[in-house]
Amino acid sequence: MNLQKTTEKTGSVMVVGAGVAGIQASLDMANAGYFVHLVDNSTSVGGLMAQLDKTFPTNDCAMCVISPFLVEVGRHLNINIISNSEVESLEGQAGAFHATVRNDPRYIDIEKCTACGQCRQICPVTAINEFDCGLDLRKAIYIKYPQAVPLAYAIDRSACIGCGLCEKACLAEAISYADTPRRTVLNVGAVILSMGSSVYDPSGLDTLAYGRHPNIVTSLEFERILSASGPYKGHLMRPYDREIPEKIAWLQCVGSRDINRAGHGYCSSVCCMYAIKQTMIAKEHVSTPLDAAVFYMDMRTYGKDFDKYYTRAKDEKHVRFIRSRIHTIEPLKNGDLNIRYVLESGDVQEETFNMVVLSAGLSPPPSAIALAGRLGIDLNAYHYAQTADIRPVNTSREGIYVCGAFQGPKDIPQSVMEASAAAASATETLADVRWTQTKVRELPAEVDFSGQKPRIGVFVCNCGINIGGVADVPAIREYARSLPHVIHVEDNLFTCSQDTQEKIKQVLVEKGINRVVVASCSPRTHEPLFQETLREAGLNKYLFEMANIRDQNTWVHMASPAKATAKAKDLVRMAVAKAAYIEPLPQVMLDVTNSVLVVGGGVAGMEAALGVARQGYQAWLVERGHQLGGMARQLRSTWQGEPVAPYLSDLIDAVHRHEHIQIFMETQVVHVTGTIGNFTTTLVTQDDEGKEKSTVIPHGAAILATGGHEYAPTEYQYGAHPSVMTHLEFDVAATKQDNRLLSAKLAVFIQCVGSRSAERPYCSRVCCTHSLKSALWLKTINPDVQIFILYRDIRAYGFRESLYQKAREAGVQFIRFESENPPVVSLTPGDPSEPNSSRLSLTVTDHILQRPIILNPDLVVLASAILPNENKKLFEAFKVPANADGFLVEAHAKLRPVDFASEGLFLAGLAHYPKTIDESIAQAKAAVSRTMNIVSKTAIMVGSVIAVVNPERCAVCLTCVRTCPYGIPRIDPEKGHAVIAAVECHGCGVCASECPGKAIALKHFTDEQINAKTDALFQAA
Amino acid sequence: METSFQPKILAFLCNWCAYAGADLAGVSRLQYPPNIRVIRTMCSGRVDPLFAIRALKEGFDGVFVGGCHIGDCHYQDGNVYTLKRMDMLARLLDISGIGRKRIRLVWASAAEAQPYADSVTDFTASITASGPLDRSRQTLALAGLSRALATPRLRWLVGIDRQVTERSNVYHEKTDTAHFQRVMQEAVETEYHKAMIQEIISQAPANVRELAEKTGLPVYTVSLRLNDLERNAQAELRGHEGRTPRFAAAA
Amino acid sequence: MSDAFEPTIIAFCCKYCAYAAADLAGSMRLSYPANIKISQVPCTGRVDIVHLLKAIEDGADGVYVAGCMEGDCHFVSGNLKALKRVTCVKKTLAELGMEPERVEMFNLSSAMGPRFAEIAIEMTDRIRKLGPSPVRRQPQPEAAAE
Repeated sequence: MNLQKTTEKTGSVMVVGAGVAGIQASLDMANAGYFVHLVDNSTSVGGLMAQLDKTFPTNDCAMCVISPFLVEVGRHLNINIISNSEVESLEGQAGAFHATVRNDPRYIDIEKCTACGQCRQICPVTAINEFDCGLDLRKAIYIKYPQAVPLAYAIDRSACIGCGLCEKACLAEAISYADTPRRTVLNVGAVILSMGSSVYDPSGLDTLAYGRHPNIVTSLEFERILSASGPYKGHLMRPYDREIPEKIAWLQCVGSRDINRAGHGYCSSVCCMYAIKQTMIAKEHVSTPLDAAVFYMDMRTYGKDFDKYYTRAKDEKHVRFIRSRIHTIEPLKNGDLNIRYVLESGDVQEETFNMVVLSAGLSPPPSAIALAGRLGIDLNAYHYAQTADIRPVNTSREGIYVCGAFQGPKDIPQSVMEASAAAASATETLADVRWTQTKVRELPAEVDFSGQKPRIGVFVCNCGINIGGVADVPAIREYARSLPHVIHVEDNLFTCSQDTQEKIKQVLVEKGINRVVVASCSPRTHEPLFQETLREAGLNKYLFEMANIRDQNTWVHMASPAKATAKAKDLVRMAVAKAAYIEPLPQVMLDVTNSVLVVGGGVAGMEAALGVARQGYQAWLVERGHQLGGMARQLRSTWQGEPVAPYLSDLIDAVHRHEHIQIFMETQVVHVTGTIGNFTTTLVTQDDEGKEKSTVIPHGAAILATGGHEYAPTEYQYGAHPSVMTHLEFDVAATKQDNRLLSAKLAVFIQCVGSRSAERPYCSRVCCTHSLKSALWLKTINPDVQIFILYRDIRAYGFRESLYQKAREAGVQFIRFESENPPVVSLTPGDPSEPNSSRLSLTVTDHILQRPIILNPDLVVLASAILPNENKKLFEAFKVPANADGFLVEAHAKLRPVDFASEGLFLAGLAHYPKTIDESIAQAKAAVSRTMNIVSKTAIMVGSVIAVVNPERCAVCLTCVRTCPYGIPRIDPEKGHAVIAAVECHGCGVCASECPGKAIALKHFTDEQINAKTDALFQAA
Repeated sequence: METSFQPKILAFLCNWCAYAGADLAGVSRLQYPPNIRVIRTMCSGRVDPLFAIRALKEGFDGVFVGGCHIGDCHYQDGNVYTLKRMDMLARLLDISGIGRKRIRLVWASAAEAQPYADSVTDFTASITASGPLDRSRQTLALAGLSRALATPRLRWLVGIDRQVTERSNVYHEKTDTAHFQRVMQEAVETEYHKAMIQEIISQAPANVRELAEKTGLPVYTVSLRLNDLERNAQAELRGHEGRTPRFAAAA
Repeated sequence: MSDAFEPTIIAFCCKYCAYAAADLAGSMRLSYPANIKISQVPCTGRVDIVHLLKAIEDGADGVYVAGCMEGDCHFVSGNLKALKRVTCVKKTLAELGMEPERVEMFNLSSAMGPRFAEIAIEMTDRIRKLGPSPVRRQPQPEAAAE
């Protein structure tokens, strides 16, 4: 590599913190033409998410969702994982930073370590297992978790006594005691900080007795207890005596919303949801009845499908939700815990539980705070990275961006969204150096074996003593020699080691081997490595099959070596049988159209179009109305108080001026064809005379940002009295200094108008914050105004909690009501000769006093719901799904929050779910980043494990069309049979198995290949 | 005072010093109590702590080990290893409640007949005062001690002590003695606890409270040790009684 | 008699959950009977009725399909389709006079290594009790010829 002048812009970037946000940011940038250094101070990537058992609100297994991402980041040619490292300093400026990174020794050669675990078994020194939150021990030599990436052990030098036993046990010779700290200087164009969060340590809260009794655990400890790979293997037991609990209490807001004791004035945003999740999962874990009680202040289930989740827990799972404040926890002799709590009414109650879970809040890790100090970026009062609402991922230092929980406490999808947004922002100024630092693997042409008989080579691995120490490897090897088509066999100490790979390459060429079987560990971890070796030897990577004789054999049948040997033979025979039938699957290059269609001219749509344009690609911006700006036109300020109008006019201006943006006003999408990389969309524009003009746009990807609108209330005398207004009307009135606001003496805000109802069972997320902000504004205009906020739960999540605090300090009064008993607003007729002279009267039942309160407000502000815009035809044209509430459905609620299941299509803004303007901007930028994975390339590779139709056998019965979970197969009327676009097929094979005419085959998993394995198993001896 | 108790004491004496010292005591007609039975070893370093436990199990009330003075070992430093092992054994005996008073390590040169005789006299008196070892009440403890002393972990640790703390560990440093002692103490405690639990569950499955009662360990300690055993596939969850899980030795 | 019987059982496991759980069982060194042999499929939705019947025809004493938890399928709903097919094969077996319990569908997540081992034990026990497959008891001319 050439030595570059370091003041020049570079196409490399650095991501600090390899949790789910860091991983997402790295993948996005590496796939869009940048070389990524991913730095983490731990021994492996994965962050907090890897410790979780399940994720809300889908109850997906966290490890299942994250591990494919771990593997991808681990093997990416353009991602350099720098584990066990700290960034010491950052010099230079945006575009050309020099980062000094200190790499602390792990004393294990990552390249050599096979993670076999022999060292762990013999290491005599134990230490606290941080991954299991101290519920368990680990050894001084350890791997964080079995799926860790890099998949290699590390020595904890602080615990190690230096006895040298591990070196004696390590046959891979991976131990390197001579390691010393190393310093490297990286030239990077931009930096993304994604250091995540640590979990609040409740030991300081004396009344909760945490640390004084093992049956009081934090929520993260409880995750580990629930986890099948945790200390109790997923059996729900309490730590003290392993009894299965009958009653568990969850205590909310531990270390959150607590200035006095915890010093954390903010809401941690995620605890309500994870507590609900834990109650449900805990109930599923035990066969005996489990009573789950959640002690809380406000239930903050403000995200997509969160309220339904809450309702399900309450109504179907009978979780008890108790609005209260905790007084003390007192451990009892038998391991039970007595909780004293105070109800809303002031009544003190006591109840005994078998176990208590403290829903501990989030806080920035001390190492992250220290790093922020070294980098010189501004932090907020709680030591999180300070950002502006209109630039949600920019830190105070140019060229440094932030995403995930280090920006503020947040859940996984929000973190992932911001990660993509940060990737887009970080690379915006580096567009001209895209693809300059990335590596391309030079590969020989693939040898054509067509017409040749299978010539199979079998490589049996000893894996040190992991396989060879249990099963008889030479016997397996010799057995393989006897199998049909096998022309070469050998066994290796470590088949995966670098030198063995070189040897294999040679032997493949020398002996003309055209199918390879490796009998070793799991294809999940090692198939890509062996496939790479095949490819380097000129073989198509699909000419490969693995027999898993370690993870699924010698490791689980250690006590029966003879059986393990016999089973290994069976597995090798099965693999060889399939290998005889496998064929090369060449990939086809498809050209990509380097432009993006953006539908919707609101903030999200404009930010998306501008983002695409700034990345150097053409954006087509389509708006069906006659003006840009969407809902933001009426908004007065962001929740942090930044004025919206100047931002919006700058944005509109920028969109108009950018040479790469073409705007289509009063235009609708009428027809969409094509697939990822190559869509063709027909637009119809209405001109001034009402004539329609059609335009056909080719584009590589599309972003739908079709927005939302405010619900027009039918309740609370809305429309019948001018002083009853919605939030947006309030904002407009405030901007105009409307007298209805200025002269108000008694203002009442009513929350959840049209939200959290039977008709709309979702929370509109933004309204609590908006009411608080508006109430505070009224108080500044007129300190004497009396304000009531009538609410169900105050959902001021994250730092928005500070508005709630300020509102209470400013004397705003809060009255809670139950959904069954909402406030009633009535009109008292005034002077009949005067218009609008009728007076408002409001009755609300105070929940604490248990009696009605009558108010005579002169201003009633309704926190009206946010509804998605009606776009049925558009969604049908793109074949994208909407949920029952009309919001667009993303590909995966956790890790793909801006992608549609259909490749090449993305979403942003209110069309996805109600959100504040900063969140909309972040999501729009995220969508830009996702499209860059497509349009920044000249071509994409398609093919491999996909379903193909045999036209001769297709009866056009539509079975495949109906069964495909992604709606990919369609009937080509001209060809007269079903077609499955190679570029879109996900490769599950459902269609192949459902097709009555057997007209569909899933490549690499054909009936022939699957049956060959089965036959081989049973036709033994 | 009960004086009819005549303790049985087993002694391991090294060939070159202590045994020669004992011979000299005989030649010199020094008088000492007759309770001691001697096994000669070439070096006190040959004495495995397991020998001592075996002796206690089989009827001895005390174990006496005699070797050369530090620096005088015929095999250079075999006796230093003896010292380390006896120290570990003493810790284990203390934890088990049997007490380190049941063993004694004495350096006696070939010329030190009198000191040898005095030590034997003194140790015999001490064991007599302690009374007989109540084996019926110490079955579990003795079985646990045997198991613990047979673990590769303790055997490796006691053997590597001097290498890493006195000479050089693999990082070309000396391991901090206090650190090593903490590791050793932790290993000794947990291995003994686990050994007792294994002993019980190898006979029949048991729950945590039963294990706590039988071992005399706190309930939560049992829970933690079980965890350790489960992780190393030495124990497993085997059914429930109501809400109480039972644990058994892994199949 | 049946003490000596060691059944051969084939398990079709999906790549994303069941196969990963089997690997995790390995990492955790959980032991289970060696009678289980896994055939990996991208999704249990790929497991065809034909594959199940083929295994029975070949003489499998037991066959099971293991996929993701319901609702968690990596490919949305392949596991639900697999369940339908397993149910169908069970019916077919019953009609043929064979024990439908020889075929089963299981759901587990990739983090459930212990559950994988449990299933393996459960299935092996079940098949042991049922005895060898009636298909296997017939002489197999094809196999003999080879």
